[in-house]
Parts: sequence; C-alpha cells; structure tokens
Amino acid sequence: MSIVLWSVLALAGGFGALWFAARMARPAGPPLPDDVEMPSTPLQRISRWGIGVSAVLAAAAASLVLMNGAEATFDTDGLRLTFTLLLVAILVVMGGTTIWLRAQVNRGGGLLDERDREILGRAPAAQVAGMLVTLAIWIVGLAEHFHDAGAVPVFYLYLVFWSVVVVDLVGLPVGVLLGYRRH
Amino acid sequence: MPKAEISNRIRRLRFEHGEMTQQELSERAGCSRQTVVLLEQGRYVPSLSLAMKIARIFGTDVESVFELAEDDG
Repeated sequence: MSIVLWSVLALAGGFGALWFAARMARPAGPPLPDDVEMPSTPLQRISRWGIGVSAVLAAAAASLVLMNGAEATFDTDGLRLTFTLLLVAILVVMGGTTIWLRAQVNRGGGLLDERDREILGRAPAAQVAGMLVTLAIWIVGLAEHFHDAGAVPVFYLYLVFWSVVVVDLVGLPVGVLLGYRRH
Repeated sequence: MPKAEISNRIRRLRFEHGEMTQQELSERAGCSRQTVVLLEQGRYVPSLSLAMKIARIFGTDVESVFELAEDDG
C-alpha cells in the first residue's frame, strides 16, 4: 500500500478513535425541541476556528506530498522545509490556543463558565485513544511493508511523528465540540 | 438507589422579572446563554454557586428556583 494511503488510513483511524472515545465519555441526552435556539459558546467558536485552520494547513502539507511524491518531498530541502513549516504552524496555532484556554480556566475569567470548563476538562479523554490508534496503524503498515527489507526509510518516521502530533493537537477541539453535542 | 431529578422555575422567574432575556440572565450570572437554555430545558444541573447566583438575581432563595424531586423507581 502506498505511503499516501497509509497516511490517510492512520489519520482516519486516529480521528475515528477520537470520535468513538468522545461518544463513550458521556451518554447523549434526548434531542432538544426544534423551537429551542442553541447559541454557540466562545469555546465552541474557538474550537471550530482551530479545527478549520489546522485542516487548511494539513491539507496544504498533504498536497505537497501528493503533488511531488513522498520521496521527492523529503529529499528536496525546500519541499521538506515547507512541509515541516506547515505542520509546525499547526503546532504553534493549536498549542498556543490550548495554553491560552488553560490560562483562562486557571484565571477564572468570564470567557468560560462552569459547563465550558467541565467540557474542556473531559475533552482530552479522546486524545490518547486517537494517538494510539494512529500509531498502531502506522506500526502494522510499516512492519508489513518493510518486513523483508528489515529497515524503514527515515521519511516514514517523519510522517508517523507528525500524524500523531496532528491527531493530538486537533483531538482537543474535536473532543470539545463532541462534548457540547453530548450536552 | 433513588434517582434524583432537579427541576427549576427559571423561565417563569425571568418573565416575572420584567421579561428578562436569557442573555441578560447569563451575563448577570456569569455563564453562557447556552447554559441558560439548557438549564431552562432541564438538561443541565448547575453547581451550588451558580444556583445561588441565579437565585440571588431573582431576589429569592435557591429552593424557590430549584426543586429536588425523588423518584424511587
């Protein structure tokens, strides 16, 4: 199987595990009546914004690999640097947002209320499951593919690391949004 | 173990207090409007401090706003 398919499978598996773990974290209540308007909270808007920015940056990084091929992307300094910078941008945006949200919780300001803080506190439950599934898919795929060769090319390790980082970083806002869906 | 349900009169109290909006109540209580919506729908049980803040906004005690109903079934 090609590197692109393994990357897609690993990320899909990771996000699938995130979704499943978040669903299991709390049972859903009955749906609200149709005439009840449900306004978004600031935490929901921040989470949607974070997922959107991460998706755009991750799509740009994936496009680089798709257009140039995996080996050419990693063997060409400019392409490898661009790929890395795009993923580092996700790390900076999502990591910075997470640190800022934690500061809001500790400061006890008016941005988050008690329900927001409860949902934010429960959201990381899904992150570990997502990372483990992503890693497991990579390990099975790489072990099967390179069993005879006895060695894994370095750029696969690069992809394993960054796919786990992306699942971890995006896992928090995904967990938050699913938390709100569970009331 | 008996199952405890907590109901509340927030919606009625809002209208009895000059048709106070959900937005105004949320700002005065220090919570989001979404939390007020869920409280009124009986989908969220507030902390003691939020319950006391809401009761104070309506100028009454907590038990006049929130009611504990025990169901032995």
